Amino acid sequence: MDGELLVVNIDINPIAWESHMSGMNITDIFDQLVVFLNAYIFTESRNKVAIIAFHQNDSFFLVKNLEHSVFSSVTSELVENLRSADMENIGDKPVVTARSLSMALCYINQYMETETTEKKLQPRILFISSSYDDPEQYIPFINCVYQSVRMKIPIDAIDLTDEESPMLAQASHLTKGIYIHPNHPTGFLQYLMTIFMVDSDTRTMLPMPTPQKIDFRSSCFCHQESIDEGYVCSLCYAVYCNDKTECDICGARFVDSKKR
Amino acid sequence: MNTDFVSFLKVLNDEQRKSLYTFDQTNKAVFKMMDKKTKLVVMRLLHLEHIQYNPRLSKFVSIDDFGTLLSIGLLESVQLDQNEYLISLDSNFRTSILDHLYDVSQIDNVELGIDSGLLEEYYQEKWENIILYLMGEDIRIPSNVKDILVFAKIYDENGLTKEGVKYLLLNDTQKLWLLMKSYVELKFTTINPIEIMRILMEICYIPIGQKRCINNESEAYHKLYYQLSELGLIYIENDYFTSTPLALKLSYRKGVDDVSHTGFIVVESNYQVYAYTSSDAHFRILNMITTVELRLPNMIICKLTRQSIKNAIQVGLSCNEVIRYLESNLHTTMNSLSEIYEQVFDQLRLWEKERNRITYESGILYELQSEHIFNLIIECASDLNAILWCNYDKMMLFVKEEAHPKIRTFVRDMRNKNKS
Repeated sequence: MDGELLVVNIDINPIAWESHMSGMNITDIFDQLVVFLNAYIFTESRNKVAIIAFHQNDSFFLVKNLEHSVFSSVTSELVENLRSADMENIGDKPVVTARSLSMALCYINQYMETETTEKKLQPRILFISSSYDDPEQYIPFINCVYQSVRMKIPIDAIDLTDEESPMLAQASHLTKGIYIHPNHPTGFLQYLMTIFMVDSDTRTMLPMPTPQKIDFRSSCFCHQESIDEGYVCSLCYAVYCNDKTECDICGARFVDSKKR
Repeated sequence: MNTDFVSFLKVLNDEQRKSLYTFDQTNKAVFKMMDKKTKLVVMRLLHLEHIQYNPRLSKFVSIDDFGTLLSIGLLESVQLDQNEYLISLDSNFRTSILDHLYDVSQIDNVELGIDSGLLEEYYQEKWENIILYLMGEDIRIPSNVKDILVFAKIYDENGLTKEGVKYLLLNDTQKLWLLMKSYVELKFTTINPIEIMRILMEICYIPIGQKRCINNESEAYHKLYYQLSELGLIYIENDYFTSTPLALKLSYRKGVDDVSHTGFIVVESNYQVYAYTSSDAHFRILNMITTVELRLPNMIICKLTRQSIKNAIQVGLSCNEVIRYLESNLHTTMNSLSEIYEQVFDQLRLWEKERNRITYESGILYELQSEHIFNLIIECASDLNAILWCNYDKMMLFVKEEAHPKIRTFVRDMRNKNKS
């Protein structure tokens, strides 16, 4: 209950923000985000924040150590870093969600290793997503999510696109975080303040949104395509879309059921 | 939320509280004093003008979340229907907090205007003197502080009262709030209580070491600042005041602000108590509840004994108060040894209960010769439910005092009947 280390992963996909973000502007989002962070630190002075921005080409830190004593100077640093983002040659590629998640995990791990005080901050990750899922990143993404589960780091997500994202929903479900796909994305700040301000301990005491039906689809290991029915290796649980004699990952041989 | 603070706020009536919330600093200080859950509820309501609330259907908040806010007058609720309420935060409070959140250009680093060691010394000296004065030491303290102590029924012309003994065992936060409450009640007619509250809130909110000018306030309140400095809450130099660490204790919340709170008592399972302190006040208090064995410059070694607990009870303390005192001042290394001190505290309670083994009741003892009359009297007394003890062999009966006249008339009637 004593303080949280919040890592915000914000998707600044320029193509998405220009086209289908239901009339919202990336600057509006950042304005509202800064107010939220101000409130977050005002509520609990020990809270610390780091912000990672990611797009198609890169994932980088906007802010590394936002806390109550350095708030106003750091927000100007945020703007600087955002402006200097290299967004040349952004093609029709997917955003690097998995990379940003692994950056967040490394940052948290570094904090846990170097922090010497007894009462360490509780880590949490918040995704602000504005792009559709990329099935090709499913495997690295889900590996990071499993690591999150081991480190007990909840992954929250707010999805501003018009479609639900099964990958983020799965991540929140596994790590006991909260995934929301809001009906009124323009009320972004209110969603943040109502739901994502609340830390893990207090979540049991206040009414929180309950998870809806979760789509547990995976990607096949051979083509990285999204499938919901497939074949699973009994040894390593790798998922394949068609019948195979041998598992590519663990080398187990499969007995062909038709030949028996 | 800090219960002492809430009871302090209850001194004001609703109207006064509403006008208290027109001050920015007060609102921010009150927000900081809330517990986590209440703060989050405030955050949920902050951007909304009002919400329509049905306790049975609500997914937004539950009714007891509102409890704290309602009790300090920050929530306005209008009943629309049977089970539908229109709830909104106090609008001045809302504006203060929103303005603070939307204004990102706050002052970041606080330059310390005054050496923190000086502040520590200052408040400790003032505060210790008050405690020692209460314990009967021949120390001079300012007369206005004496007035507060007398008004709070802690002290009177005979010295420490029974209430006062209990007061000594409270932790600093509770002591301070009680004094503040008495101060406000004492000065109710002369100084506007809202102003006192507002100034207090400002004192707990500003960072330690930051100087503020007294001349910003009107003349009438200068006296108030000087009186607060007599208590050790603020340090006044020239025309500036700064908050001392004692002011920080006003907003102390157990379990949350423990980072700065240092306990000094270690309790062992053989009832040995070690107190790492060099303060006279602590020594006197420990003397009341334990048998002090050794006093070193930085440590006091004492033992919790049956006799020492009995002494404490005789002075007017209860065992729970002693336990609470020890618990609240436990050193941080004792957090993981809860089983050991559970055993010790149970034994303290048992010693306290020993005093309750015997109860006293006054009555009349009858000694009779005739068995026949003895039986009749027993019948009469048992009808009146007055028998406390009887012995058939010795023909003795002990009845309650109130029943004596009735039994006497009964025996007289019986004798008259026999004669006639």
